[in-house]
Amino acid sequence: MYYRSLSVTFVFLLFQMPNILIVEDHPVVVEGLQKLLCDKGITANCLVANTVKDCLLTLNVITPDLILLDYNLPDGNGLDLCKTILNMKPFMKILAISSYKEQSLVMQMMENGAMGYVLKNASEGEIIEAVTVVLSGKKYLCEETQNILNKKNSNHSILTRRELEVLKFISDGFTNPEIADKLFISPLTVDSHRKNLIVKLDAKNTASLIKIAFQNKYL
Amino acid sequence: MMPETLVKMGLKGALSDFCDNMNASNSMTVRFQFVGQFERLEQKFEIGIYRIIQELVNNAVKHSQADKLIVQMVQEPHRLCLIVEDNGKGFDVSAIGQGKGIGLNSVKSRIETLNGRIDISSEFGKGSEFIIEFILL
Repeated sequence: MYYRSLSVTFVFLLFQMPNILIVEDHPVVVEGLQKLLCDKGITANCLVANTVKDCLLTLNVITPDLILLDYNLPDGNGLDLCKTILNMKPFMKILAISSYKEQSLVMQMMENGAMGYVLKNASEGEIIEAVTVVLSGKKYLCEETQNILNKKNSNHSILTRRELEVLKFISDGFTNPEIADKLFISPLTVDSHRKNLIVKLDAKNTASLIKIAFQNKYL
Repeated sequence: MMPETLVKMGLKGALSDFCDNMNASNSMTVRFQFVGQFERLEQKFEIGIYRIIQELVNNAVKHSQADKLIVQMVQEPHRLCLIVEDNGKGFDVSAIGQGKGIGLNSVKSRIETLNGRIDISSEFGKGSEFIIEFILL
């Protein structure tokens, strides 16, 4: 009787434990992650997919609670896969685990819908924390990734010295050739600046460019 | 040697990382700004442009004595424009192609092979500006 209730509890626990799918092609890394997650009692069910194809096939059958996603896969990359997964299952919790430290990659991964990003050189504690936090539905970035992202200087459009000069002349009603003459640059270059300004200030045409420039006090 | 970000992320990500690294490793402030609609381009083209910008930024670091440099990438569905602008000492543009400045000559010919257009303007004491434009088909 005692044993029976124990095993019932055990089975019950198994059901309670989150299903985690590890998408990673390096067997030793998979092994390590599996061991870490089981030892710390996070999960008893680690599913593994070694390729993009594998991962998608697995997802057709089951819906794990969390996906640990590597960037480099033999038949694709984690960035695109992240998007594909979220198209299939919009509420999937994805934690990217990668050795890439490039800012653009981390940002793109988060933009593509990952809920967390951990570097492979993170400590055991950090990886466990990341898994727990993302499982609870919150976002998580490991310390090093946070530092990488914090380095990003604010990136709102600024106009360069030359662009401001061109803008000023446009607002004064000069034509491209006239502005080119004044600034000793080619008329084609003036036109490049004009087109860039229109894109930068999100204007429709030169007339609205001037209006927006005034509103934003560039003029 | 090709940076991994270029293959993975295309020009926007690769140039952004390149500028970040230049910014961190030099006394010059290097900024990158992207405006418009980002789309991947043919790989040969991406590599070519990346190399050109690398060359221009390295030139500026070596020779311009500027403290600020900005690299801009403006992408529209049919147009790509890159601007490298510094506030350095400037140089004599007419001297390009007269034996000196082999770097700029190679930049020019590389842009021509990619069917682009470059325009260089520079003013002594104020800075230099390189505008590169491509029509995308």
